[in-house]
Amino acid sequence: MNKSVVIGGMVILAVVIIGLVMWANRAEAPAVQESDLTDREYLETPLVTSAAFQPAAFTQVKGAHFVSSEPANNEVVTTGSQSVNINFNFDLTAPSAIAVTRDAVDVVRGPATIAPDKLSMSVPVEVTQTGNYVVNYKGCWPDGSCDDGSFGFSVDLNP
Amino acid sequence: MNKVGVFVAIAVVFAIAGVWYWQPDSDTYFIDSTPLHGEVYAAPPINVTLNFNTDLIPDSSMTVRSRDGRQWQTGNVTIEDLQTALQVSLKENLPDGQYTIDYQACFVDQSCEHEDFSFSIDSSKQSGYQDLRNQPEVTISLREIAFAQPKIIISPGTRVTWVNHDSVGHYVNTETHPEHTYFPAQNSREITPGKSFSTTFTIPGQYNYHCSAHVPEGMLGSIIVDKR
Repeated sequence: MNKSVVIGGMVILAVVIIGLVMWANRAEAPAVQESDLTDREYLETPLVTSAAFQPAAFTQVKGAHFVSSEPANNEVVTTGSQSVNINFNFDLTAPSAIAVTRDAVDVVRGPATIAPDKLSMSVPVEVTQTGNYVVNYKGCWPDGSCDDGSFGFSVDLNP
Repeated sequence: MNKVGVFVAIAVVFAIAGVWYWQPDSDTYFIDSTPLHGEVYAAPPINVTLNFNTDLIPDSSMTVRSRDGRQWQTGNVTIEDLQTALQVSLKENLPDGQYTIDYQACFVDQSCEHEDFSFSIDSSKQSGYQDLRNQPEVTISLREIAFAQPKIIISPGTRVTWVNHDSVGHYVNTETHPEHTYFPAQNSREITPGKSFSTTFTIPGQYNYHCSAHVPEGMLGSIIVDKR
């Protein structure tokens, strides 16, 4: 038998076997639960109409020294909001920042500001529509290093 | 082309597929630890602290073993730092040698991580420390972006005071940066010029710390509490 044919056949056989193994394992993967969504997947979740609005569950990622936030993670508020505030237990510095989006649309309406005691920062937002909102923040420390965190909250104006 | 060539071709295909398919899971909540992986301490740490960036749940566990298999953790593992740090205290008098930390951390999203890493103790490194034992109070000066007494040995119950003699603000914070979870009593806010910060050390062991404003400049310190 031609040697090239033998080699080619063995390679094809190997690829087929590998493909079958991968296909079998992908079929066994558990269904993704809402709580398993990463930030990126969360934003890609289709927006539900107000009449059938379902707040999404968000797994919070806490940056160093995070204490609390307003709104809190997975909080459902029934009125609009003009700011998002995040509290820490260590001194924040520039360039700490906050980004807030709904359905990947930026709703921030100004720069983040650090409180005089350096233990919190807030950002003005336009939260006037029902939906699931994602907050991504960056906390920066006196040596200029920073780390990230995120959480989500929901607004239902027609509860 | 012969049988060797055929074998190599198949092996290469399987190797490429294996490397691609069995990539390490990059979705982990682990941030860092005290001690760090591979770190060498001059004296035993007082605990092992693991930092994560999401909420832990009580299903988590941790063991600390020496090479002979003996376990050196004491008490139950605890969840600290607003549910993001896993910590276990260590027995006193850990001998020199390598220790393996084996942990399972479980989180509010019902996922778990199971990993292990190691650190070592080498008491010969204490030769680089200044012996200040048997003094009820010790003062460390902050000058020229450095702790003037960077490595000291003190007795249990000693009150240590850091005094800022510089023209810029400094901090005294326990490891790691920026989580500051190993020994929270050693965490200051900004120490402005002329001001000071104090804390008392009671548990024997090694306490590494840093100035959070000058980590890049190498403003690091270490205190060993020794009851001998």
